Amino acid sequence: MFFQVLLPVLVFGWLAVQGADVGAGLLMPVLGRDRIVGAIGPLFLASEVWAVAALAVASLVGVAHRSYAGVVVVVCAWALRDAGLWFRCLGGGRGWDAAVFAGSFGLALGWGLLLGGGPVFLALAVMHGASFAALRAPAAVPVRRLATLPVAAMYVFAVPDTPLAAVVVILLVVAALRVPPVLAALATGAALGVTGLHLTGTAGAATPAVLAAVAAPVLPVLVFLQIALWRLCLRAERLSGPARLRAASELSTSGAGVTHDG
Amino acid sequence: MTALELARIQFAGTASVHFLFSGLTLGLLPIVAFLQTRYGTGRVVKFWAKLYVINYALGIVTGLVMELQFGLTWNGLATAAGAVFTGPLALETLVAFFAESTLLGLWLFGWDRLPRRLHLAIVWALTATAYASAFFVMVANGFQQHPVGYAMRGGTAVLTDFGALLTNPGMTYGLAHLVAGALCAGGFFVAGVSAWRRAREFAPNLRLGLVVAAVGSLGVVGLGFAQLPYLKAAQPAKHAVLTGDTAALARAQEALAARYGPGDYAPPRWITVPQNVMLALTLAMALIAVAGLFFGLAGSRAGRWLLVAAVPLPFAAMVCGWLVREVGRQPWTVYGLLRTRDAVSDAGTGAVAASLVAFGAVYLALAVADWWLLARAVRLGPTGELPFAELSFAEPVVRY
Repeated sequence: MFFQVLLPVLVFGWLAVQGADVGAGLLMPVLGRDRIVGAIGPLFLASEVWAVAALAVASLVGVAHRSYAGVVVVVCAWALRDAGLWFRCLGGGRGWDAAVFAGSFGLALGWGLLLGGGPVFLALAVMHGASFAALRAPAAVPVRRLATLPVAAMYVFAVPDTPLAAVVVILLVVAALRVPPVLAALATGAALGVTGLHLTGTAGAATPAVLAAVAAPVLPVLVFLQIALWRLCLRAERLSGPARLRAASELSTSGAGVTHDG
Repeated sequence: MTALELARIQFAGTASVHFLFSGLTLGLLPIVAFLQTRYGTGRVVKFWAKLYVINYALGIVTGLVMELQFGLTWNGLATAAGAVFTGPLALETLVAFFAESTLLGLWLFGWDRLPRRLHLAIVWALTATAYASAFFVMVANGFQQHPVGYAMRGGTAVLTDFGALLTNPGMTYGLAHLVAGALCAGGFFVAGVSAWRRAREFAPNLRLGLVVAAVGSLGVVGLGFAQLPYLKAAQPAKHAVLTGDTAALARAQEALAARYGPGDYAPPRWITVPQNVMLALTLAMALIAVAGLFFGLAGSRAGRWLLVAAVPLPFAAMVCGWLVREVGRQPWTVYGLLRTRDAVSDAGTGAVAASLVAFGAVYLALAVADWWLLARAVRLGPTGELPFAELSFAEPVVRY
């Protein structure tokens, strides 16, 4: 029972949150590599956990194994993309951008293999990535608007389910209007999420009662920690320019920095 | 080769590589937390934090494949014991990993921004989640080694006693042994890197690394031998092969055949090879750590090189240890409950071969890149920069 509630929440969160990173990664050649990595970087650790939790739970309840190839593609692309982002941010250089792009591409295609729906996820991810990037890079706004019509058309063509297609098209149109960037990003994230939910279907696995008993009280703590991290990242960013300058000047005035021998 | 053999190679390979990174995470993190407690958040602690984060990256990335393989290639395990086995793994993901990654983000992005005590509490909480992760994984693995706390209902194991799962001797002995091994790896890593850096500011780190390495390597020997009486009772065939007791092996084979039907219940004889390598390596590590602590090994050039050369030893020993534990459990996936040949999914040989090649290539490339980055960060030394310092924060921020 617990999994029946948890799995949809996690799948929705997974696609809506990681979809933002993946879509932004796909837009690297269009919007500029440094800008995209700067947009994804500080937040991708926080979004990563949704993906892992969703895929782990999906795996445990048996949803993730409809397509062997899908799992392999998703996992390999994911590993490549994450390692690319980590390595680039840890001194590996801009050469790893290729891995981020290739991994994002593979991941979006892998979702299609795993959940069904073909290249629909690729199109939706591009759209979501554009509206996510627009939160932090206004240059992405025209990309979001330009993408709306082709993505909506493709969706209607590829997903014959009328109510679902109607919901998604409405969400995409909302994102294309002159709305606050946060609303646009939420709308495209929701479009990815509902598509994933629809294709995942319902899982029928019994949950050990003890798991629910242990996990349920912990979940609010985890959500609290997540909110704390997102707030810290967003606030740190606004402060980061002057704060970094200050830190640098402190380092240079205090000589050799902190000594260790106490 | 059959799909079963390929699936086994795939699991053993990915698990071994994963543990090279997650083992160091477990060993290094308490040392970093201790250094931050003792010396604050200065540039040397930032240096260790950066090494920790580079290592952690691959811990996550390689860990992705692990949990998925249970569903991908070991479907029988989920069918026969999913209700017991998946519980600890789901808890590991939800409680330990989810919290661990979020706390890591708070620790890194809160550096010099959050209040000092809160930031310190975060690094210790981070350490606790890393160990909670190891704990839950070992609860699942302990159930495979020595199933307890379940009842069979309609051909499926159902959890009846969660407490028994958490105090399972198949888990507790293994966990203690593993923690000692991880601390040994963390200690030698810190000692080796400090010896290579040579700078005076690394002297206390070197000493701390050697203390942890000595405690870890002596602990790993003691805790390894301590589990032998339990092993003899719980898995007599594995014990007999490891101790070379052919008479006991024949008796165990007879008893198991009487209980579970005819078949070969002896694990492969070659597990004595990783066992002996593990013993030899651990002995060498204990000697090096003690020599470093009491005989001033780090004072000479040769001694420092020896400490640098000792860094890979605990990792080799850990992989050997896993081989002894897991291959020694054969022919069972869950001891006495589910045979490995019944646990494998019905995926085709070609599919498993393809995934083995794909995972192998990705793992190899990423592991090499990660070690190269670690070596590069060590060579650059304490730059005073935090991990992710190279991120561009320059983009204008639109309203939130």
